[in-house]
Amino acid sequence: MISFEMLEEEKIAQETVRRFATDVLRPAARDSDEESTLPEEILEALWSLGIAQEVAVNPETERKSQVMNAIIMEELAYGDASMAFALGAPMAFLNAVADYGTQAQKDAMFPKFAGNDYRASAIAFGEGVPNWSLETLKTKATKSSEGLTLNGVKKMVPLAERCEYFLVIAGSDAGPVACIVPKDADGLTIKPESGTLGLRAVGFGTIELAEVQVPANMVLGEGGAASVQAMIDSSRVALGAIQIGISRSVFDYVVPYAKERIVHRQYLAQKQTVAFWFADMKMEIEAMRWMVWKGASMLRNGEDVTKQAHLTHAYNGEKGLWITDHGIQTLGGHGFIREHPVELWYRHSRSASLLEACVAV
Amino acid sequence: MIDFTYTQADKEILGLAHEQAKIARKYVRYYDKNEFEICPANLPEANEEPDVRAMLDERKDETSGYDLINSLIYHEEGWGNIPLRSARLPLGSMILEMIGTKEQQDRYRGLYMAIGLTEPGAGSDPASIRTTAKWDEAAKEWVINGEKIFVTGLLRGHGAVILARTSGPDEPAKFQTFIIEKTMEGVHLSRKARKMGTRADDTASSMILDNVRLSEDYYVGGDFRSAMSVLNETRGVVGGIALGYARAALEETKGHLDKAGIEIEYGGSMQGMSAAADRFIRMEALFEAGILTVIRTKWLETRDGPSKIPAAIAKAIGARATRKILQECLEIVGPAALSEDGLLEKWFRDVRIYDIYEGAGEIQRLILARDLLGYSSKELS
Repeated sequence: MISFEMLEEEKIAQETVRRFATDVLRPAARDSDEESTLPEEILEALWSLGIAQEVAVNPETERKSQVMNAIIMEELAYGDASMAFALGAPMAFLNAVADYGTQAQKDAMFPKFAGNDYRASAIAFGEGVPNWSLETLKTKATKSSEGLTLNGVKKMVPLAERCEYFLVIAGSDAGPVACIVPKDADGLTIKPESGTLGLRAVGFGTIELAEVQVPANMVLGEGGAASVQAMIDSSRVALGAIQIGISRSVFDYVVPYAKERIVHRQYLAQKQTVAFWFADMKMEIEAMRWMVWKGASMLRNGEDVTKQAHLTHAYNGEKGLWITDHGIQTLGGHGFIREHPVELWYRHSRSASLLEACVAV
Repeated sequence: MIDFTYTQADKEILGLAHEQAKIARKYVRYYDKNEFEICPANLPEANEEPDVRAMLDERKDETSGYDLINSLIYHEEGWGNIPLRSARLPLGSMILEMIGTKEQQDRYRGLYMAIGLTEPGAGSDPASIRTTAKWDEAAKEWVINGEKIFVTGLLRGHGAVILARTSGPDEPAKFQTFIIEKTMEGVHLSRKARKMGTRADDTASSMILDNVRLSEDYYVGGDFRSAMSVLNETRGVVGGIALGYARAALEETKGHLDKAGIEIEYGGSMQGMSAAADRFIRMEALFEAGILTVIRTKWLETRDGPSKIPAAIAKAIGARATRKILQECLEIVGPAALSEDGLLEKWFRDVRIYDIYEGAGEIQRLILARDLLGYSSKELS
């Protein structure tokens, strides 16, 4: 039955994470971006929420629904989008193992992430071309005596220098495969990206693979059958949630500003143009949320979400950009200055809208 | 629990509504071409078809909610353009249900009562209304003078509920509600308005009120604001009807793309798609966001009753999305979209009114902006 009613536990999680985002994450956001680094105490605080590693800690119990995770992702991003990625990226890795891994793969990976200390992992997907497809991935997995051999270059891998493990997406004769690769694998070279427009603290990197050996039992899924499309879809829903968090930050910041700022003996918010931007921001933030909730609830229900995830990524990316863009415009020159957070949110939003297979719900 | 799954009853009711919309579609080009014929409230096939709203009434406890599913029936009727069986309670009748006396409600039950607000000089700003109502103490009658334009449903209907100014020109503005019947002396109806689209809609170009005399029985107590609260129920529905056209256009466009061998595939690179596919998918996303917004408004209404802000949001988003979707669909299809061989050109003409009437998009945004900013109409004009 159609309903927008959050479960009690979802409301509690939303409230809790919102407070955490406001009190802990947001105050650290600017410095974190300036230094392009996630502070250790922030990572420990994020890890202590128990969200990202839940499937690893309690593999027997039913994990939090995708709806719950979408609600949480939105709130984390409200604090800071880079910090949302700090949990979202390992979630993408661990959820993929939980959803598709063989028992042996779960037994190998989960204990590594079940401790109290922050541990990073990520899906290595991007190849730096606008027209990628799962049938024409440039990173290749060819058959070897032991399993597969990987050759290629992966770009824009989140947390690259922190990751213990990567889930490397490569093309094979049997279609796209996801390979569990440890950071110290022979032939694997990790290089930081030269800084990024936004999400700077995430620390994106390039992974170079030269004859990297993957044992057959580390190709994700029974017979290597993990669905890469499903990872893309879940990531799109999560990115949609992150866009809502960023947009809400903008709205909550610029509306009070405009109500105080005097222009031509009136408050800026009394200019119809500006007031209408705010009306559109409010409406679009809600619409973005319904798009994410629909995708997340379909995932929870086990329905095919590829179309809805695609629509959500397109819509929320577009609207997130519009909202952050108009947030800057509302602040005028101050919107351009790094003393205010709006330019950061604009960069975060533009960046998140272009990424794929990096986070998850 | 957050969920977007239809119940079995939802699917059956909306499935029937869709089948009936398909029947109605057969007539749409005819009434578009023959605008001076009055499109009947019930198309001929209505006699053989079950009443989908009666089905909803019977099975409402098995649905996701009465108001929600009713609004989605209207959405299907938008898809079909003309309802097989016209159920939309006209705005005038709704006002009488809300603030009329029992006697008035009995008198006009089952009769189509339109709403007469708009005037040549008063559209989005009802406070500019110039139609006057003067009390004649000797005759104990109200005397109405003025002109109402764009009155939907008046030619087919019985009359209209109108707003008139009862205060003098130098006094602060005060408006009251009155009932006009078409056949009253002094009521002069012009012909049907010649519109760009929605030509099946019976829109009276103008209704002149020339010393129309009304006894107390035709005065509706209750002020302007309470009369307008009826729009909280209808605005979201109008957004949903508009989106019915949008959905129809997307399906038609998909047909053209399929014939041209242009594939629409989901899940792949955003940047690697053809322009046509990218535009199409973005319009599908816009539709989805719009319909989810309408569904949310109507779900809230099912739970809490009608409310101004969600209604404004559903109207604003649904109507603006539809306007954009139709423009883009024609862009995607190219010159073939212009031909009357298909319905895209008709829908392009039809949908443009949806962001204008029943509260223009700008008015919805004004309502929403004032609410979120905590501003009065003086503080934000």
